[in-house]
Amino acid sequence: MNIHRGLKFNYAFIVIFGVFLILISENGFSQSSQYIGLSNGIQGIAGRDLGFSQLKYTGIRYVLSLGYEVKKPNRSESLSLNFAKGTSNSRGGNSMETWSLGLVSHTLYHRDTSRYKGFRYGWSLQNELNHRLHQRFANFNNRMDYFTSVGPAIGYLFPISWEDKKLGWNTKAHMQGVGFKFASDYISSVPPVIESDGTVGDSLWYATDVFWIGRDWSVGCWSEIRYETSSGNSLGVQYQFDFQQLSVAQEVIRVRNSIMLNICVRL
Amino acid sequence: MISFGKKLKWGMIALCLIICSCEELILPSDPPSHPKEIFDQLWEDLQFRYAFFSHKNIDWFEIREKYSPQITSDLDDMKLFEIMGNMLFELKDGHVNLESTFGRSKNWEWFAIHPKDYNESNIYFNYLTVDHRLSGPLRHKVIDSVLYINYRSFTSDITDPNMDAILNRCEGLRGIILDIRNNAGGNLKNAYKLASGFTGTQVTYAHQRMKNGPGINEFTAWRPMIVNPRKKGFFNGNVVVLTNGRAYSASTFFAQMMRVLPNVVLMGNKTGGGGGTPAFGELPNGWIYRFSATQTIDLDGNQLEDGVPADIQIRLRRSDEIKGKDTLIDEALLYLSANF
Repeated sequence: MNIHRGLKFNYAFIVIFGVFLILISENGFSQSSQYIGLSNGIQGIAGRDLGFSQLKYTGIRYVLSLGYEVKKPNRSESLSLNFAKGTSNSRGGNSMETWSLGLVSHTLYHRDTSRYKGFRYGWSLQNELNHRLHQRFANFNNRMDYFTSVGPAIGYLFPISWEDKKLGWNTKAHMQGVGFKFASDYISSVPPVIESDGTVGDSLWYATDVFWIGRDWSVGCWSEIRYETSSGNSLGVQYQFDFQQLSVAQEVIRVRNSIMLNICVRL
Repeated sequence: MISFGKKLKWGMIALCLIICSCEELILPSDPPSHPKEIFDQLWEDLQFRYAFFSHKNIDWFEIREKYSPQITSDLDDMKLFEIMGNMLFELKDGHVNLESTFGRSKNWEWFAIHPKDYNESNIYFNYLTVDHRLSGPLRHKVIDSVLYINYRSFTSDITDPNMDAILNRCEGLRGIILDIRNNAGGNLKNAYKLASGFTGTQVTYAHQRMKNGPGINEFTAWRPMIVNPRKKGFFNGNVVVLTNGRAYSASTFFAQMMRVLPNVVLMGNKTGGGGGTPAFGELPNGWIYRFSATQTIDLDGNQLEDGVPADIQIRLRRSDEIKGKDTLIDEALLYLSANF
């Protein structure tokens, strides 16, 4: 037990320290353009939580996303806060309410300082909380999972000029590599708790496990076509795909496809 | 000659298209809903998650051997439901059942084998009578300076004002008789709320552990179950709780909560059990099943699944019942009179 916890501590420390290093390496916003965006749309979700059922639950959820983006001569940074909620149904006719709250950032580096075009490479940080409430179960009817992870990201920006109108195709993808996670226990709705009379912090620490690519997966892809006005504001249509699989007490897997309308304002 | 950048670009586009179109590959299809697969899943999930195989000394594999040959590919839903219901019946657990769109299987044996020891019409006509008061789900009346309270189901919520009403009414009385006979259980929060009115301190009444892995003995550590006192005062006089074998589940938990209190006596018969908190699962055809996923023991290590014994064992005498009397209520009144 002590070795296990020690390993978890090491992994978690590496992740936290890495994130800290990245955060303190941020430069000021000189020579940068800043944008905020609001996206709203629908999301198709298909998922399976073995703690509830071997059947997959599919449904449509509404999705809302707030975004913030900074473009610098050699780097683009984006931060997106996403919320989705809706009902999913199984083949057997049973249903559950689900919601997700996520915060994901992408930092992409590019050599071309004169124009944002072509491939960009970088990294992403993802935090996501998912909750499911089964409507046919009277006890242990809600289950959750959470993860924070970092991983490589790739982007492609392709500006298009069409009859003096500025359009742009922007695509980003990430694959999370390492981080930490916790989720509902084998039966219980809450994560495993420490066996002695510990504090909430102790319990949370005990429940936390390492997110490790290969055992756990989080892959996301965003693709957007934007129409940019002369003032720098833009309207866009965004498609988002993501796949997540968490190896926890009862495996959780989900695939989501979202289509959103996006409005982006230059600050 | 295509440049590396272009290859990468088209490669990325292709990858996105592939990922987005292969949901079926990423998320495997649902298991088939043939009788055999449905039966197998029910058996297997209970093997992994049911909490009392060891305690009840049940050979689940033997039970599979008994019922599996009855499963054929041409079984209709009704027959499949009946066979699987019979298999679950072997667990002799009122918290285990199967639910479909057309019915619910339930193990009623615990209910049928216990003596009745309760005559509702005698209580209504000869004890509560027409002038009893109703505070939420609690029917109560003062009989010989004792407050008699009758609670039919822990599914009916008790509110703070309901508790205020009964605790205010029992001031200056010799004691309380709390009748939970034939109360088949419900929501445990009502048990806590009711018990909180009879203690001034935090009391550990039992310990519970939960399945946390597929092994037959894979459980969490035992964790204490605690009754907290209510903030607006409590009754510290004598209390007699009337129980019988048809008091089940939340009633068993409530009996145990009350049993550890120094001013409380359990009178009647052992409760019916139901010490495992039920969890749920879903079969490939959408049927829902329920099973006990936790174990609870009293402070001496006895499983609540086996029931909570009465401190004073009394049966309802047939001769009393014919006369319209309730032996247990009469004995409780005598006990409170002698111990006031």
